[in-house]
Amino acid sequence: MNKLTLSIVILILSLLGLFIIHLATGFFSINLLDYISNQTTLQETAILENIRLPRAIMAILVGSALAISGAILQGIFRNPLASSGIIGTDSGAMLGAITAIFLGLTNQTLIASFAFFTATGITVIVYFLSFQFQNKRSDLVVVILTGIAMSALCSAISSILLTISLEDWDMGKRMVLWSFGSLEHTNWTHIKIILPTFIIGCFFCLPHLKNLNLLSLGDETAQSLGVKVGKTHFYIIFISSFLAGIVVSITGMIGFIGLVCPHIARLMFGNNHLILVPLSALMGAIFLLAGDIVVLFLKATYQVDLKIGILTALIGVPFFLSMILKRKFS
Amino acid sequence: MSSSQVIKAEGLTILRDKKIILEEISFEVKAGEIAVLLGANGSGKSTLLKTIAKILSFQKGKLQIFDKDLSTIDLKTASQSISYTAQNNDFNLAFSVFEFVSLGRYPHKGMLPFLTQKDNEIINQALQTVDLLALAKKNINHLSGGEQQRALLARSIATEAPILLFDEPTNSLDIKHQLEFFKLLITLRNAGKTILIAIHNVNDALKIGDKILLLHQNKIKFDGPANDPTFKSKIEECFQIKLSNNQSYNFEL
Repeated sequence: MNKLTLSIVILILSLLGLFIIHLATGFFSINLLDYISNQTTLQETAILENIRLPRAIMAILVGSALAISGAILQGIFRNPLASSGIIGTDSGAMLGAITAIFLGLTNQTLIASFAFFTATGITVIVYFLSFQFQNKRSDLVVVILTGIAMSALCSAISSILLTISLEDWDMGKRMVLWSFGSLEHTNWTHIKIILPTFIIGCFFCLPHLKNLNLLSLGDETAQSLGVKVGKTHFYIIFISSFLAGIVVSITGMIGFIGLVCPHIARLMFGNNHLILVPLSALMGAIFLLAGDIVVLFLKATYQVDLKIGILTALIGVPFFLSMILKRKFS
Repeated sequence: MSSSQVIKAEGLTILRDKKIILEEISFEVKAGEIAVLLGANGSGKSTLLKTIAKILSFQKGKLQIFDKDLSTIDLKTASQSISYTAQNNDFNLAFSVFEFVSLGRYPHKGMLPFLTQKDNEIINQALQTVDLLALAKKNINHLSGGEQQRALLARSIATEAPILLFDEPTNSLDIKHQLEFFKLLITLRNAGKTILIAIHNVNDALKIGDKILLLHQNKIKFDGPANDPTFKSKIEECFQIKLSNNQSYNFEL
């Protein structure tokens, strides 16, 4: 068995193991073997089927989607620091959600829809504005600069709305909590939204993985090897924004996964995107599942309500730094 | 029209950012020929190579590849016939030498570029031609400058394109590696490849060029073999220098 196959087997087994641990973790102690042999109470079955199972599946989907979104963006930008934040998706989603809460909406699906459409809308504006700025050529530096400018604008408007809302304690609290990112209120409706979106995103991503390998050689070389560079930039930016946008809209901001997981996968398995992107997705799922187990454990054992978005940053930063140091000294 | 003409330009005008780079130039490159593009910085050598590689578009005139208008050939088909090697290449990549060279097979692949037995044979053959087979598993980033240049050449060979374009490929190489590179180009020419290469050094151009295309002030000032009696005066005119008759150091290719 070569290194790659062994790594894939280990990652899949880790994912399965964490999935089972995730289902067993929570305030109520539920024996999974009892559930399999139909010996759980109605309450335990309901908790498992309606709360824990959708949350565990959500963690897998969200982690994978964020990691794929980051991996493909890093591919076209040829920069390991690229993530959906630099094309305005994250701050767009934030602005959408805060606007929805500001307008008095309380329905989670409506807030998520607001967040998703604003996130996608901001990415569209970023892309087309940058296209105008760069004399109809696809120059990614201009896309990044426009993305940073639009993100700053979205953050400024969000801050204004948040400042105005601070007098209404409940509204302000909901806005701040949304920005932390959480899998807490996941239900099957969310899965029904995220799963098809995830499949569509992956389906449209697949034909471009080959082009991402060629784009790592530079835009001109890629074009000479048959890649329609401008079109590929466009597709990748929108697939990335689509995947990150839908996830962030439902869960709130969960940072670092889109940055860390593809980076670790690249250090371990190289730059071949046909391998890199699926393995980043697997790592993203493992990372978020593990993180959410810690969140559930802390809440059940110590009544500490730590949000997953905060935890991913807390775990992600030292992990990320250690990987960089490892690379430096290897 | 002779069928041996592989590249043919007629009244070709190329603009970049509304500025004329090349104006109504005409030339031909025949099959199995090394044509050298000579010219000062900014004379349009790179622009011409990129236009033939379909990276840039041209505004006026005709550009034909194997008697077919380049503008009617789609990018994928063109990439199977024309291999372009850029002047500056980023080798800071997590690719093995084999993976790097295998990217040359992508123009022949569909959506999922899985390598067949035939692809592996072509890649290994390309690596053997440039004497890099022993380093196939090494990271491309860990090779020396000369080895990286040979890996680029191997990628170009792996495309199996009959037309090979090179933009100043020997700029960063020492004299030994430059000569090695030129020897490989001559081997490829002898194997039937048509090569168009941009070079700065006049002596190098004389060594390997079957014909020279001298670009100056948006035009081709000289088009012919280097032993043409007018070549020296054209070089002096375009580069605004005086060539001495001193014997330069001569190297065997």
